[in-house]
Amino acid sequence: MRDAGANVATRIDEELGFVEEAGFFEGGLFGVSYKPTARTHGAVVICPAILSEYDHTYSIDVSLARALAARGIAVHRLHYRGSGHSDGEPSDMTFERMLEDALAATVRFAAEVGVEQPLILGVRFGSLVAAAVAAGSGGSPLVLWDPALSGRAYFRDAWRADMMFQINEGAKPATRDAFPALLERDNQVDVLGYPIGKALYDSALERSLVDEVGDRARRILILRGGPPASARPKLDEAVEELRGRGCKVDVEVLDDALILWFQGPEMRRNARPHVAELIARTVDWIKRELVKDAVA
Amino acid sequence: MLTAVKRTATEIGGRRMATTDRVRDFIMDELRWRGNRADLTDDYPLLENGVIDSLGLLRIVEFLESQCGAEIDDRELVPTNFATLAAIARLAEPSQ
Repeated sequence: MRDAGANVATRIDEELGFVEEAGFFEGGLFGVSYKPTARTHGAVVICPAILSEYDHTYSIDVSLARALAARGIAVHRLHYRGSGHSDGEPSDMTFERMLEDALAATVRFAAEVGVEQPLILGVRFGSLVAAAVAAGSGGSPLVLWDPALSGRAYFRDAWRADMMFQINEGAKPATRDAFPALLERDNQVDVLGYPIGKALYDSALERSLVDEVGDRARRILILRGGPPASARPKLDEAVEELRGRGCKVDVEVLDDALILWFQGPEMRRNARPHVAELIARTVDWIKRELVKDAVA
Repeated sequence: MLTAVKRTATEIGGRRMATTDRVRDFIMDELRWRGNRADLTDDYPLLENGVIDSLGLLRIVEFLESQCGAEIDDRELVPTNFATLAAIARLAEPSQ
């Protein structure tokens, strides 16, 4: 077991005015904090994506964290146990364990920076975790990047992405029907080179974004891929349901698609041009949200 | 040999537009294929010629479902259904 709070690296950005600390916390949980050196206006905890999307959004999360810290907003990025630098194996990941990790990181970081209700940001599958963390953190606002609407929908997307990859490689892909059977047989399935464990699949399958947000009214920003004319009827339904529960939900649509499954030239050509837009819109909304609260 | 291509169509802005034309537009405008539009005939091999890659395939499926009203079963996600514009248009047809 690693020592709690054992820092492995510290970087001071004097020009932008924040300190970056990477370290292991309770139970082998790794995270990186970005703390403004001057006044802190609020705090954000980032619940990252998983599978290939985790690797492909890692640098986006870092850029966002630094952009926010430079504007006086403290940020913490965590690595769920079983992923990234945190201890544990991917096969041990469950939704409950991810939630436990995110809650522990949120409570510790909020106390460290003296913020009562940090804003929680979820990336893709991490949106389900973020919503559950916010539900356990009073009225914390939420920012969700192209959120998974449910575990079931997310795993379907993941397998479809894998099928498309195989078609492009000239292979005849296994259908979705085959995946649960493969999970039963092998306890995990490879999706684009990343394992989905049966424990994670079983624990997240019936989770839905709307249910995880719960009944408490809160402010939510949903940023989704475009183009703006493209329809997302299931997302629209979820937004209406959240609004019906008293949440104030802003939906912003990027100019182009935000598909994060693939790497290499496809990713660079299709997603990278929109990263700056994604970060800029997120920073603007969070600044308005947290500065407004600070004034109030 | 002439190949009969069934022209499925949807209503766009008050006029009917063939699904093959809509997917062709999508490939040119949204996927930003750098080839010549005139080459993109209904039976031009899309996968063989690298017109669409994994990400393009995923986006076309999303496009068919969200913009063309198609309901695509995952069992239909096989290479032959994405081989040409005509094959993609057939994929978008309602199941009989």
